[in-house]
Amino acid sequence: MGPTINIVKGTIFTVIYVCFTIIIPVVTFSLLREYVVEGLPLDFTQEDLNNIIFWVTALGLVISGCAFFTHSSPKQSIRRGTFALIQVLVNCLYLWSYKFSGATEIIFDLDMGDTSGFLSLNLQQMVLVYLGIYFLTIILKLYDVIDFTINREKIRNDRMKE
Amino acid sequence: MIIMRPSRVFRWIIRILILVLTISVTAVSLLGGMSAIMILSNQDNIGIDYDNADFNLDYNVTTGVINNINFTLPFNITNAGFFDLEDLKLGLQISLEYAHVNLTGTGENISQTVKIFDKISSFPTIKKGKTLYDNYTGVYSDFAPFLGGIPDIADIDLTRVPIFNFYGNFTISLTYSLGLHSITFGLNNITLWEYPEP
Repeated sequence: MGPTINIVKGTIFTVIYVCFTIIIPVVTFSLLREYVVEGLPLDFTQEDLNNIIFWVTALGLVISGCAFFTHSSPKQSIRRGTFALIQVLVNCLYLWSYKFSGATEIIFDLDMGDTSGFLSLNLQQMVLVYLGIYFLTIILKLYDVIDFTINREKIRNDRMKE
Repeated sequence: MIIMRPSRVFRWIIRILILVLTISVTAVSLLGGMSAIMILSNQDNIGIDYDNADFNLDYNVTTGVINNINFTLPFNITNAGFFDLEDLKLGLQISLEYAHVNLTGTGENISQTVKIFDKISSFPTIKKGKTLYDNYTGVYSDFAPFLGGIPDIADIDLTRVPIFNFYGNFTISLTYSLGLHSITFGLNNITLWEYPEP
C-alpha cells in the first residue's frame, strides 16, 4: 500500500476519533446542561464542567493523534503496534478522566418553588467495565508488539511478496 | 493465496471476543441511558402520595411526652425502562419544627428544628414494564432513638398554630442496566404534616 493511501487512511481515522472522543462528548454535555424533564429545567450543577471538557478535549486530541500514526503505519509493523498500544493506554486515561473530572456522577439541581431536590446519575460502574475491556485490549496490543518484533523478517518478506 | 500465521488466527479470536464484549456493554449502556430518560420523562413514574398518607401522633401537651408516633406513606414507581430496577431503596429523614418559647433575644430565631426520624428501607426489584405500589412505614421504634432530642415541654410554644410542623427529605436510589447505572432522586423540605392537624 502506497504512502499516500496510508496517510489518507490515517487522516480518516483521525477524523473518526475526533468525532467520537471530542465532538460527541462535548455536544452531549452541552445538551445535558439544557435538559428539561416535564417542563422542569435541570440545572447541571457540575462546577467543573469546563474541567470535564478540558480533559475530554486534551486526551481526545492525543488519542486522535495516535490514531493517525497507528492507521497510517504499514500493517503488522512495529511502529503500528507501538502506536496502537500507546493509543489504548491514552484511551484508558481518557476514560479515567471521566471519573476524576466528576463526569461519571452527573448531579442535577431541581427547583420546584418551595421544594428543592436533586437528581444524580452515577455511571462509574459502566466506566469501570469499559476499563476492564480496555485491559484485555492492552494485552492484545502487547501481544501484537511482541508478535511483530519476533516475526519481523517473515512479515517483511510477506509484505514484499504482496 | 496468503496463509494466515497461527498467531494472527489467535489474535483474531481474541479481537472478536473483545468486540463482542464492547458491543454488548455499549448496547446495555445506551439502553440504560434511554431507560433513565423514559423513567424520568413521565412524572407519574415516581409518585409519593402525600394525600393518602396516614400520620399518627399521640402527644401529651401537658407532660410533653410522645406516647405513640407512626406513619404510612404510599408511593409508586413505574419501571418504564428496558431493564429491571434493582437495589431500590427509599430513605426518609423527618424533622420536627417548633417555636422555641424561651428564645426571645434580639436576632434569635425562635423557629427550631430537630431530627426525629432517619430510615432507609429496601424494596423488591421492579421488573421492566411493572409498577410497584408499596407503603413506606415508620413505627414508634424507628422514632425512638431520636425522641431524646424532642425539646422539653417548657421550651415549646404551645400557643402557636400548628405546634409542630413535620418536614421530610426523601431519597430514592436504584440501579439498572444490570448494575451499570445507578440513579438517586432526592427531594428536600417537603411539608409532610402538622400537629395538631388543621
